[in-house]
Amino acid sequence: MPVMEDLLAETTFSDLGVDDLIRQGGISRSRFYVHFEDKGDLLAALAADTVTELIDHTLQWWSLPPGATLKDLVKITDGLVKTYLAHRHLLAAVVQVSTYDARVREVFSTMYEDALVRYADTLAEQQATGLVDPRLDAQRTVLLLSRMTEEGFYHLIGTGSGRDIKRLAGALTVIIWKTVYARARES
Amino acid sequence: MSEPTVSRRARRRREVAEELLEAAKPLFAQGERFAEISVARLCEEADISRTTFYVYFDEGKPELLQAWFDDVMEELEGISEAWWKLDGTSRRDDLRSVITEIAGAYHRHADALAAVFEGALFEEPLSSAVDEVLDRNAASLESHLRRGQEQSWVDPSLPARESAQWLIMLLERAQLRIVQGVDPVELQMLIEAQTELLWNMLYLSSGSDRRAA
Repeated sequence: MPVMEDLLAETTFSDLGVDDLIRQGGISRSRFYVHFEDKGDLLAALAADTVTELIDHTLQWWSLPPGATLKDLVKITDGLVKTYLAHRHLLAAVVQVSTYDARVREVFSTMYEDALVRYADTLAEQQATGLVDPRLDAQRTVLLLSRMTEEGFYHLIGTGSGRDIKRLAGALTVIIWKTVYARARES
Repeated sequence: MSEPTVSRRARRRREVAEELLEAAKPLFAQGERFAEISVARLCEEADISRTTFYVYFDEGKPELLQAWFDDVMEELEGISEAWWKLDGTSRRDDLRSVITEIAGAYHRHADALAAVFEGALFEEPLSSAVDEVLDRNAASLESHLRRGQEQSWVDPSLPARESAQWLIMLLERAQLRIVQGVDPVELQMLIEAQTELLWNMLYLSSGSDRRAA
């Protein structure tokens, strides 16, 4: 139901009513409630797909193939930014609603924690094969970079203009490169 | 002539803000959100009259959040000064002590800052006030990086402005969720990981002889 995403571009989640959703979506009230308990439930269902897409994409940051360069890393970041921007209202709503809706918060913090474990494991595999400096604290580094990215997407990318976004994406990629890959791959 | 009065009021305002914070902490610990705690309840827990509350915070709860935020940021200002003094002669230990102070402040004041950042998602002018302080910190870090680039102790290929913006996201906005509620051992590990990240990112390339520091 992309209707919700369209509506979120114009109004906040708390001002959005189930009535607006069913009217714009052209579905009946009873059908809505067959599938969803309330609008928070719908938000969680919609955003879960987008967050899964972002997580799978982010995994590429931590599994750069041998011989890949900063340019390849730039492509991965650009893809992430594109996905984020396409769904930024939905994702911003998740951040806001998570503060007061425990169920929504639970869904996404579990996804996030699981993702961090996958990121750290992936990076550890790279360390085992010498593609990443083995001295790097894989677990905490992915935590720091993920939290930074999450906040920056919301507060910098989500509010920036086209030119700013390009430069911000470039700088983010350099931070990832220098932190994770530069030492093992530039020497 | 009026200055002592003003500062006495400011001092008392700060005390009241601290008392309210201390009273709110047990409620936060039980999972209550600042947004859902009424002024009446807050005052009752703190044993402060509502009249007193509104003498100092006539705009209500968002103004109290602003006071909590200002207090922490004032503490962090001194820490940042120490950071801007770093240069080509600084060692990893110097950077580590700056990061230790920042992470420590966010860890100590996590309750207040969690309420502030959450409030800033919904409330104006709080949101703009937070943005303004963090933008200013990013601008200071940017100047620091530019000075380093001119003096060849920061990698000249780094985009100074955008790097500073991201690093402030890490050190400030994300810092809260990174350190909130962790034990002292984990806090130390997180400080170490951030020191490593910033040192490699900003300073390492200027001299490989400092790598072992």
